[in-house]
Amino acid sequence: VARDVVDRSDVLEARAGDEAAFERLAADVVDRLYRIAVLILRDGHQAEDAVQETLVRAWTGIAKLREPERFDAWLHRLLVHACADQSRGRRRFEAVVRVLPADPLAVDDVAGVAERDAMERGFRRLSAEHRAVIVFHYYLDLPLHEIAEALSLPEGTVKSRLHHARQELRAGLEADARGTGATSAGGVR
Amino acid sequence: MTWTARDDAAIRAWLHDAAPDRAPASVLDATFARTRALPAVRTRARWREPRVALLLAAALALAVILGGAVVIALSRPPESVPVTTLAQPRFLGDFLWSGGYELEVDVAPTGAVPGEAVRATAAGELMAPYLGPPDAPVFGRLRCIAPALCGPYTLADLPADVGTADVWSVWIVEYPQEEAFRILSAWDGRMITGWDGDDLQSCSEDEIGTEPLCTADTFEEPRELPADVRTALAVWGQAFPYAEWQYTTTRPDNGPYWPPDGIDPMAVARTLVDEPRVVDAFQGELACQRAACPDGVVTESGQRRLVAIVVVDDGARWVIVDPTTGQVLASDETPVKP
Repeated sequence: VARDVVDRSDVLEARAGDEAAFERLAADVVDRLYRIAVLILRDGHQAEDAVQETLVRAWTGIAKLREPERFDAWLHRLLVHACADQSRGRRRFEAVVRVLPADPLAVDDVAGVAERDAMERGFRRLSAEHRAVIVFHYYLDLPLHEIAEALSLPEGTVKSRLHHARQELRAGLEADARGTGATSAGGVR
Repeated sequence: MTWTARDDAAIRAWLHDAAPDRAPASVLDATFARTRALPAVRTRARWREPRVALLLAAALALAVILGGAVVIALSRPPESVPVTTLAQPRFLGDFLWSGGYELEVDVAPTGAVPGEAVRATAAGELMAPYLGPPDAPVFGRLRCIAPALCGPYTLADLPADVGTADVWSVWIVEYPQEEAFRILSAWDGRMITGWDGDDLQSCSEDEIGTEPLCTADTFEEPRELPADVRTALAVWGQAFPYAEWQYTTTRPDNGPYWPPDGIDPMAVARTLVDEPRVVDAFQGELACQRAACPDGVVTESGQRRLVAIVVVDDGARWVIVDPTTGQVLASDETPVKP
């Protein structure tokens, strides 16, 4: 995933209280934050709330940012906290069947839909903490030390969480495959 | 149950597939509406800049030396002054309540909980590992002056013993070294909220379900549609790629909410299945994602439509009904019905 380019001068100006600079920053990062939040929360509305909360907290807290070059990591940390708050406080539960490609339905596609659905279910069964580490590792391709910084965890804990998240995901997928009689057990797809 | 390189590739592909392209414009609009309503952001304190800090330290050292000399010369011990005011009240006001609350601090603490008890609570096991010793706790009253900005709890959410309808009596404990603070109920020392430098604190995992402030009916595990219904809907969604399904169910103990003047989807299900045994029911929304959506499903881009999904006979049968009209949109026997 290509990182959004954040103008360091905007970070410095926003830290000094320049609202216009902060709004430029927010516009630069909002899509990335939203994608991460949707993946962690699996809920568009909650993701919108989490991103909004993240950006508001960023504005109120940016004056305290000691190292502007770590703006991204700091923002990720705020987002993870906001996602955790959303996850804890959700007042509704929902299952989202996402928009699918408009190609004609083929037999293979039916199997693909079922497998993607299984992946969706497996991922949803993970805790928000485990989803976050999976998203940062596999979607953002962040190195472990940056994931640790974003999650406010020691690097060893991140490794452990990643391991457990993978095991949990695989176990869920295999159990799912056994339950529905699906044939796919050699890979998650 | 070994995780393989193939799994790596699969999860990576799925995540990229599942991630949306862009955030809705409303996210930034709503964000800026809030940030523009906030007081001007507190700029980084000048004394934190290294050069300024060095000068201040030198000036402070000089002042201490001179002060000590004066004290010795006068042979009078300095009087101790109790710390009863907040070190950085603006910090609290800016960060804690997003401008929604007004904080009135009493100089002389008169709360129901002695200061030492509050100090013990705030420095307890939960916070000790990452927060240093607290400063002197301060008693005050918190009043919501802009309800739209007050949070994370509104005053109405608080139990009656925490405060009156519009004012909370609180202890505020600051940790100046970490620029963190906790706000505790003045009545029993429970933590209401706080700031640890990164995040507003509300309820920890341990507190959910045990602490009165954290026992709201908001922490239930998600309930999912049966797998075969989800798969059927996914296939159906492929036949209608313009549509996004979103199911929002109410709490299980209350059951789904149907429009009071609508048609009971259960009754519709009974017309399709002989002596059905309803095992589950969900309500949700169907949203059109494209400009042209066929009549009968959704008619306008962005419009959402309430639907009811009734699962009967142990999940073997299911029906999706428009609860306002009773129209059957789909069932296990007719999975595609434009």
